[in-house]
Amino acid sequence: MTVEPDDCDQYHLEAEDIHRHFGGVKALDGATVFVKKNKLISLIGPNGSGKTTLFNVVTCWLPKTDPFDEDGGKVVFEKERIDDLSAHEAALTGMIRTFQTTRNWQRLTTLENLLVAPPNQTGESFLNIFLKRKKIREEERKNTLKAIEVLEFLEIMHIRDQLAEELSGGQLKLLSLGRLLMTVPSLILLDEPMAGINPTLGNKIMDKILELKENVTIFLIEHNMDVVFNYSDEIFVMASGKMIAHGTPDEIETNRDVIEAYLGEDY
Amino acid sequence: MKRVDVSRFSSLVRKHPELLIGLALAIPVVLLYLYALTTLEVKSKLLFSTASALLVFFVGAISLDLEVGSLGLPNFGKVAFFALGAYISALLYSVYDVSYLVAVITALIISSLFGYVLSIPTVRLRADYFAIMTIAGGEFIRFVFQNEKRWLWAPSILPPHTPTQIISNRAKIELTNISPFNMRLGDMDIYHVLESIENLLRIRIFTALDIDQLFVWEVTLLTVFFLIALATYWFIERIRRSPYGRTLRAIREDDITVTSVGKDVFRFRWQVTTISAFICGLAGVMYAFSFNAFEASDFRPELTFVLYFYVIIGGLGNGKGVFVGTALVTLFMQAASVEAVQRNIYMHVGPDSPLFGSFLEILQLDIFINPFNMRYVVLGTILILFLIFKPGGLIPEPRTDNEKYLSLLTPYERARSDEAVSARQSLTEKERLFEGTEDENDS
Repeated sequence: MTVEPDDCDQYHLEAEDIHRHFGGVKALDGATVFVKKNKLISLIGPNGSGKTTLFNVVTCWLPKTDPFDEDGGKVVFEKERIDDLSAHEAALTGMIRTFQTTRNWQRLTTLENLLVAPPNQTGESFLNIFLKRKKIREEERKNTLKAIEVLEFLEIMHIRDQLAEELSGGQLKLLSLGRLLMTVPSLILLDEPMAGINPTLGNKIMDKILELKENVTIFLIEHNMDVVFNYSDEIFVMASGKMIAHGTPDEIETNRDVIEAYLGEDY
Repeated sequence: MKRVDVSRFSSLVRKHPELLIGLALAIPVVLLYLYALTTLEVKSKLLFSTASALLVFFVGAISLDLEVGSLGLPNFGKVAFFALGAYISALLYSVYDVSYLVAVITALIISSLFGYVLSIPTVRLRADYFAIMTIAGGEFIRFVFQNEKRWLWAPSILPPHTPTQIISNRAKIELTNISPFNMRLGDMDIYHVLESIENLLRIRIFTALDIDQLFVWEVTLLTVFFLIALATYWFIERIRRSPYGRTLRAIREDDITVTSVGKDVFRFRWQVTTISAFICGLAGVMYAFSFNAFEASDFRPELTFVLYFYVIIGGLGNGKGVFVGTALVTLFMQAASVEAVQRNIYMHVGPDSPLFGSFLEILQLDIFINPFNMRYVVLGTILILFLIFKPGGLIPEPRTDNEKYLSLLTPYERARSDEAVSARQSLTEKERLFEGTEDENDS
């Protein structure tokens, strides 16, 4: 591997030597990533190179491996090992992801889609429904205000009262970004946030993502090379489950390995 | 002369198209039921059995609806909880001489535990496999009750008291024999109050329905059942309206996203299956009161499927729909079971009828004419039609609106938000897209 951690403090997320196989396919073969705080880090690579699998491993989304298996690796988030957590526990640490295909709660309104998201709500504990009604009301009020703020930030206020099943693909992408903001994340992992939407809206989504960068670390999988090379602080390049390159956009653009494996001579 | 305003009705129908389907189902069912009532000598007998079945199954169906309608977990083993509730409460009281309250509480606890156990596989199991597994779970419980002779069979009433499958429900037998419960309502003082109400209204409704023939225990039981049903309805609607219920609906729509925002989906699943098992066990305890004695074969999977009839025809995900569905199906089932209905339909359209009679007899179709034999065919057909054309049921789950949340805001915040909504709505799609970028160009 080309990357060595020089100063541990600046790393928000470290995934070291991750191995993962599905049947005979080696999806991850010793991949290593270091994500610096409050930066936009991109992950690129050809289809099937293991980018989404890396996301799944980092967010504890895959079933745990047994210790005798050759699969494994070390994932550290905010200086704590999180390999053993389940997916929802990992999300509670402040590391929230989106999915390649947009997933939303179809028969809930846009506002409700946002209101479900805040973690550890008082009204989500069964007994509290009957015992702490006043506290729930206050919390609901607070969350509603926050949801309206998020809707305003994403400029999708006009779909506040619509059901998610009535929204367009681009609106759904924005909505899943909004849901993620409701959870107060410190690291967001975006899996192709611009796939399948028109370039203008794509740029708009990118603008919003960049605005978030002040407080939040962003780890991005994207196939749109203009976006990746223009906005990223650092780029990791994957091929066949390994990191083949890492560096600033300028370094990557001229890297022979990357050009051969992914970008092609024309780029 | 008073004229019926047709235009008002038609505009109502246009607003709620379900109303027409509802009436198309309700009118024949109610007519059949009224006909069944007129053929009976003591009409209150049918009224009692209908009302108690309605209340018992409503409690069972609403617990199913919490799982299927709100959480999206198709539990096909509901009959197991009826069986657990009925068996354990009856066995503990009649055979093991435990006080009835303790017996009921034990039954409910065991029923809830079984509900929790059923929920464990949902961590890995997809909904359809969960459905298959729960059918097996329901049958498993029935076979245990059928075959476990040492603990779950009761000594027969007649000597030599060998254990039999048949459990006599001592709680009900005692209730029907203790004074004042064994008296008829007509002999009680309170009936005079009803009579005076009748005289006041000048409609002899109580007399016409033979209310005086009802036993006091029947009235008491109905009152208790009604209170239980009301409390259950309130309880489940409260859950549905809370943030908890909102998360349940989110899990129904997509559990993966719910996990991705840091919620333990399994916690919600086991809690709901356990609560639902508790309520369904309660329905089982109530169900036991329809029998003087019962056995394991009274708890076949049909009971689960009947609950699905109620929930799907009525409307998934809301208590009112479940009530309407339960009421319609129960009225139909009860009317179809009245002997005169079966006999008279037989006479008019069956083999005894002059027109097609011999034809039906040759084809041996006469068995289909009996509404009681046909009840599952009729209901099954209606169910399939509903699933194809009206999957939401007669009263669909109300479309969630944001009023509930927006009303929590101060008027100023509310107005500001509403203004922002309409301001954005008035823009064209193109303006919305370029709005932000233009700002940047200006600056």
